[in-house]
Amino acid sequence: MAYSVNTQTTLLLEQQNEGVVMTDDQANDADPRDTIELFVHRPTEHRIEIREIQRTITVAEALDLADGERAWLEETETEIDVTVTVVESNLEHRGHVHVNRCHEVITKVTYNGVAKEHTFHSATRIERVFEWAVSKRGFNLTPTDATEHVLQITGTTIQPDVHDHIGSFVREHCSVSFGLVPKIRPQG
Amino acid sequence: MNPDERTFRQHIARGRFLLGVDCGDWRLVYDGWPNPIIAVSAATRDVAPAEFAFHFDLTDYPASGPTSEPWDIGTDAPLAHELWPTGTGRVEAVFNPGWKPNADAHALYQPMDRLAVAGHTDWPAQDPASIWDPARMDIVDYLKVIHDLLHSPQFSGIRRTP
Repeated sequence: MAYSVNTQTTLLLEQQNEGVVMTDDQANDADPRDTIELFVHRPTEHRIEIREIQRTITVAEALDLADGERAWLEETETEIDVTVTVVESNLEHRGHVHVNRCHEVITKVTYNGVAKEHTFHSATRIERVFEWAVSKRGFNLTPTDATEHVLQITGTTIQPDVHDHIGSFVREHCSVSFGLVPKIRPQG
Repeated sequence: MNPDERTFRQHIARGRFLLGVDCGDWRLVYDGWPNPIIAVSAATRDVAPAEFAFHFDLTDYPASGPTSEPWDIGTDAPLAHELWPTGTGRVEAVFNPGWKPNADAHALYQPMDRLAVAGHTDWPAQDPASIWDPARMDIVDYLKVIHDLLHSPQFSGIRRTP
């Protein structure tokens, strides 16, 4: 059997996905050299979207920035100048950008009834928050114990992806609370 | 294209799935409906491939969750039991070729698997975070479970001893 992936179907459906700005006609006509794709992280339901954007428009237009929103490169505190064009900004194809009103996020993690706080930049990946939580600065878990735990948003069953950004989970306030909970071994 | 297939294709076109592809976490091998094949990367072990493929059944997706079994891409058939991933703890429990939800199929022994959870009425109470919820989950949540297990220190390689 010869496996195949219907890339045309995938492309068309990608364009239908919310947040992707191209229309079907634009997709057919677009010169790939004139566009780049960006992973855009922000505090919305899906937390991450991939956008294909024209390099000649401003970063603010490309990201549909609302009043008060700013943009940073992933895992950095480097704020992006959103007034320049995408090509002038040197944003890389398939790079990661974080959009938020919050510059920093007060992060509380609770483990075995003890809570600890740390402030992270909004564009920090959840992977880094977890590393802090299990480190000596957090709850000092052994490497073996650490692999058997996961961060879970307090009061929910949502366990963020390691690639998610901490800022994607803020709502009214620039803060997020997690539990450090064990992964369950299925039994029965 | 029926609505279930359309939803699946929308999900694999989202940033969340594509980010995993970009990171090398998984790749779509075959997108046939309702049985796509997706390969998930594995941590390096002495005797193990760099990835394992999984043959999905997405019938009634996303109202019903996915189910899958390890697959041999070369022969387009279920993976020989001796080539299944194995290890200790959760890895050993989830990748268990000795367990079958019914006479016709294998599945992964974990709460997010549609066939596995059907016979375990206590799992929703034991591990509510891992129970399929179409309101907030998609295929990536299922792939995350596999990827996590295949990168766990509990993952030791394949069942066949060298």
